[in-house]
Amino acid sequence: MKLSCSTCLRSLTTVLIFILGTCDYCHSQQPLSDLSEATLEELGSIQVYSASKRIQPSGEAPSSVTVVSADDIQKQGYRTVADILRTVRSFYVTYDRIYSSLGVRGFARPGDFNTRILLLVNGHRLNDNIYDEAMIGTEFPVDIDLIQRIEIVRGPVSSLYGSNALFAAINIVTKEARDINGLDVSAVAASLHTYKARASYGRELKRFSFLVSGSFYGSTGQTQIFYPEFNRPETNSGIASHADDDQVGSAFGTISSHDLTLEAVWGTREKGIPTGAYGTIFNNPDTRTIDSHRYADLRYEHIFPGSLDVLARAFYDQYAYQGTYAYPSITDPTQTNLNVDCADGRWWGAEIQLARSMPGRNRVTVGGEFRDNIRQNQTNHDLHPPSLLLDDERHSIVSAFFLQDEIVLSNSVALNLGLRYDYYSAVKSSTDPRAALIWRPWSHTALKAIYGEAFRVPNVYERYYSIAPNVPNPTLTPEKIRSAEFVWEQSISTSFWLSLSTFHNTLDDLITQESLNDDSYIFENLQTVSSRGIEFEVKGRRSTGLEGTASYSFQDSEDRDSGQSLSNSPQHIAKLNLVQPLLRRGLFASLDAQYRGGMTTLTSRSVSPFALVNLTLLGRNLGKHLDISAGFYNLFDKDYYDPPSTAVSLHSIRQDGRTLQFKVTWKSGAR
Amino acid sequence: MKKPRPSRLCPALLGLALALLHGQQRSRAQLVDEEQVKAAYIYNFLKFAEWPAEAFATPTDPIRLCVLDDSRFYSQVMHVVKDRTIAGRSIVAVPIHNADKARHCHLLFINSAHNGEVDRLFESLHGSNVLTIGETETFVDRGGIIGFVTQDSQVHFQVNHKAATQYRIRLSSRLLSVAKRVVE
Repeated sequence: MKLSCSTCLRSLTTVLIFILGTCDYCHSQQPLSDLSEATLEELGSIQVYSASKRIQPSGEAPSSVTVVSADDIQKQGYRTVADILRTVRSFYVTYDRIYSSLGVRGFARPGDFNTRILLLVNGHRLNDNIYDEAMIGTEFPVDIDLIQRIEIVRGPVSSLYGSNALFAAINIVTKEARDINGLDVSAVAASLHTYKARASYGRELKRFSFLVSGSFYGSTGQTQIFYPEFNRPETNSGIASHADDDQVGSAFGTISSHDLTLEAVWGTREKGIPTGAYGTIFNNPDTRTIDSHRYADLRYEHIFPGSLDVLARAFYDQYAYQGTYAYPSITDPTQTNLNVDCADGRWWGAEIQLARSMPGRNRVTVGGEFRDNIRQNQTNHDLHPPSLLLDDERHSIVSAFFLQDEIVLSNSVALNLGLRYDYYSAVKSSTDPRAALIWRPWSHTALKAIYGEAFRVPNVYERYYSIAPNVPNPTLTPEKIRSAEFVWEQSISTSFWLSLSTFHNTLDDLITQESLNDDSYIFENLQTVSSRGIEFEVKGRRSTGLEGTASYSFQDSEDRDSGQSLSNSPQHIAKLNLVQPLLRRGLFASLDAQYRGGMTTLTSRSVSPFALVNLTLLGRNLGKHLDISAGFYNLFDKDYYDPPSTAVSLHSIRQDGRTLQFKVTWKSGAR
Repeated sequence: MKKPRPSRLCPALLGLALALLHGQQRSRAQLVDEEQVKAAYIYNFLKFAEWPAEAFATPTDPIRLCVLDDSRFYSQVMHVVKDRTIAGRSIVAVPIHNADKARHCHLLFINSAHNGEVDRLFESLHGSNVLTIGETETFVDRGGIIGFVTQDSQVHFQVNHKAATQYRIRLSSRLLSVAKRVVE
């Protein structure tokens, strides 16, 4: 084909205009009202063009949303929720060998237990009532194989969910009886003497369906880890030996009949701490933590006449933590004193949500929530010599009311308004609005302007924990975020989609752990942090079956008071995910590459930028019943480091080199 | 006046842009978005379909027209059905994000992105009265009731009459006569 330059230039201009979104022909759509009057025959004779679609996530969701499916999880060989979140645009995860901490849009406070992320399982709040912790690593109480999909909603969403939903709400939707449909078992063997076994059974019967599942995970972890900061003869020359073990047990059960679903979840994890955290004796295997969370949740969903959707829920949760820390005994320094730190949280609650789709233009949702924190207790005691150091008992009540209205103003403009009022018996109440305007000037393009506010109430740990070096601060008030975001989503073709978003966040009265003069720490409403950033993501699919997502995000966060850049806040983050089906979709090769820019740490040092590559090969439906996968994590054995939390006196925390995982899954019903 | 020489870079750039746009080049000033046509079809289908009485709680209960996980198409549909009634019933468009809510729909649109889940979906709809509408060639063969097919830039539809009967939905002969293919 010959092209003259003028044609070429014209075409290029068309392309550019198209991409920039000011093309003329987009406005020449026939009015819809005419179309719906057309007969079936007339409709069949209309010449159409294919508006691109179908590879983007919810195009008109009033937020920037990412969805990760069970299929993605299996193909990419993700092992934990943290593994999944690492691959999400603008998210980063750091691991201090106790807990995994999630950073979003440049924000991750050292020593924070993911308190500014709301984690839900089937809509059930998982953040506990003592530390507000969202547990995303091996401590997450639901087995990864039971996840049907993860919905990640960025930005403040307190207008729907209340406290903690500052940076994102992550809802994990689990599989149901029919997804398992019979027996489904899996076994994992991996590097670092890691083994896992899971058995699940699900059946759909005439009147009800049920699913039960249990799993066990055990890992000895790194048998030898060298920490140069401890490189002294009295601390085993800096080598933590057999102190990184990790054991997890979990059970999951659900039974549903008609509109009712009862769900029970139990998960417990015990983790050895190799880092000499909290000033404990280095390389002492007695230093470890146990976290357990269990709950029962009864859900009722029904649609009443007049198209009224009702969701009601009642739940009971228990969270328990026990940390055992080895210190030299005060009375006899040659002896070891074990200090036992405990938390006991119990709460029950109920919520109701009514949604009504009005004939015409809007859908209104109203709801209320009540939570009774019947126990928010913290204790701490020494074993040698025995002494009780903390015995703090608390309880509190939370209630809330919220309203959301989705209004379709015209074929191309939608408005989403939300407001929520939260009453807290222990601290100041909060009212949080949210508004999103979605404009679709033509069918390939969505433009969204979103403004939202969210809050987090100080937790009982921040207010009342008084074991040295912590000083309690009962006068803490809620912190608040204000966020503005613009999103541009553009479909280029049926198999190519891109999105660009820019945001500005301001956090006021941020609850920050401050150092007092005498080496003690206190939480205070001190900082004001503002951050600005831009994110870019493309998704594509080729006829060969190759699918991929690539994203880049840049952000700059500043502590307004000091004028300095925020610690634990990488400016550049890039991700690449590719899946290539091979052998007539019997085999999948998946690549997951992550780049995280350098960042300063709490101690004003820095951790270097790094790029990691993980590769997973999955053979699916072998002999109809078997899936086999091999995962290579940190394929190129890259040496990389995460910043320390406040718990750890290290400059940086070395992460695992190359590890391998083999997994076999057998299911009785071929799918 | 001298004609500018065609540059070598230019076709290369165009090629790249074309590859990016992947067939989006043709002018379509007089064309209509496929989705708008499908939305109009769906409104038409409502006129030619009849549900059993127990599919509605009351004689004036609205028709629930659900769109699975596709908010853009949802807004198209919303625009088409607003302020309209069929046999005394108003029509509400409902965005659903969870296939389990689908049993309560009268009509469910499943876009091609959900192609992998339709078998599971049909299983869960067993015994319900949901008129399923898809947009892949194989949709009606896999147990869907109406499947859109786009051929030569025109949108047509196929019908699985047997499936409609199983879901106890009566489709008028007029609808069947216009269908490109009817699975009995």
